Amino acid sequence: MSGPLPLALALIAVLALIGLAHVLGFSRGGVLSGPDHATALAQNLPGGFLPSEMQLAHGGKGAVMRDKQGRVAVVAPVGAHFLVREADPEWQVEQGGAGRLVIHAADFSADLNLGSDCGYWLAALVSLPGRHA
Amino acid sequence: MMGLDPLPYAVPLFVLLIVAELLWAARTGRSAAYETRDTAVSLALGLGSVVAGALAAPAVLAAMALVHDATPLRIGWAWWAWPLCFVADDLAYYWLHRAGHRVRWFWASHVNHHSSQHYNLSTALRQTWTGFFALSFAFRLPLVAAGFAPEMVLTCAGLNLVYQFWIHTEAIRRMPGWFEAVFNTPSHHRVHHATNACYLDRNYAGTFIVWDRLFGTFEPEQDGETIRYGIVRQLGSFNLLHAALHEWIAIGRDLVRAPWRAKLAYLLCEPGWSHDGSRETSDMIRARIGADRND
Repeated sequence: MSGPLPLALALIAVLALIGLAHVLGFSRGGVLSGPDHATALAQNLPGGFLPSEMQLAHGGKGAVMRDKQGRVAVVAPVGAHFLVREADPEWQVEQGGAGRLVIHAADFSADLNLGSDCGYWLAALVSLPGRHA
Repeated sequence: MMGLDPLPYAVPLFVLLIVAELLWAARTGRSAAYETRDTAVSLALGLGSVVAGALAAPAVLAAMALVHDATPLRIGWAWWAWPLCFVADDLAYYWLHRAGHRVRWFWASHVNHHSSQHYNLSTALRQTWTGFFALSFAFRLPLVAAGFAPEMVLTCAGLNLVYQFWIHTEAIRRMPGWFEAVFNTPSHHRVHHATNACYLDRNYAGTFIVWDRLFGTFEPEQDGETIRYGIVRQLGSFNLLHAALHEWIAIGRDLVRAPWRAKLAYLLCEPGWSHDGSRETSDMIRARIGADRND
């Protein structure tokens, strides 16, 4: 089995499987089941992360949290699941419309609807030590 | 040459089983079992790995032939050599796979198999593009030096890979006890793909789980522990090239930034090692969370 034909057939099969996954509805975003879910995700951050305060994004589509040491962590959706990152002063952060916290990092982007608490968490991210004005 | 690459012949079966698992997941309401973009990345990585493997095959065969020519040992093509070679190859795979998790150089090649947060049959096809560059084939050279024909070793390696396809599923909870005791199973391999602290760097087996039991790396799946799949620092996008190469790029970045005395360690120490202690290895995470639970 060599030559371009098997590869072409495999490519067709790959495209068909992707199409089937989409048609069957596997393109939905993930939802955090609650604060415990976000806390569990933060566990593997270097040094651990035990949140002392947390704001879930609207619909459970992410979270922002802070621990007693003042570290801030963000839980952001990636497809049907999430990633967690400790906030970095290098991130670009801004307030979008309607209470949305928008983050652009080197390896991910997030758009979290925090409602009226957005300004509070934006301030927490902007005031991180080491952040350039 | 009496060897045969079984992988192309297994592809139609792989496709059918993925279709069956997709339908099963949809019918049983497991909406998070698959994610379209994740599946696309997994399958594209699989396709790319076939191309990369075909391109590297002549060089791998040449290296094996070199070793085979240099050794006076010849096992030949007797029927009993096949099961013996399969078992020996599985042992070599165990150490290759263990190195793939414990040495960052090899992890950079292997990480893309783990970077999906989903655990389904498409994840099985999420294979490396850089295995040859990482020199992973070197783990199989001792088999050739012991007298096994290179083609037999590569055929057994292919069969091992085919075996491992079906264990990447949540559709099978447990196999019969005797099977779980001897063979790698979906239950054992779910543990291997988990990021839960208690499961990190466990169950490296390919076909026979007995290697993990023998070398102290076995961890059974616990019913009360909800598994979170993926890697400790989850990927933040579905960019195919990033998925294939991100750890190599991270190594390059670390090599540039690290002081001279630490550069080699960034290649050879376990993933998560850092010269300034700013990151955590799996052992450190396990120790920390274990300590937290005991408090």
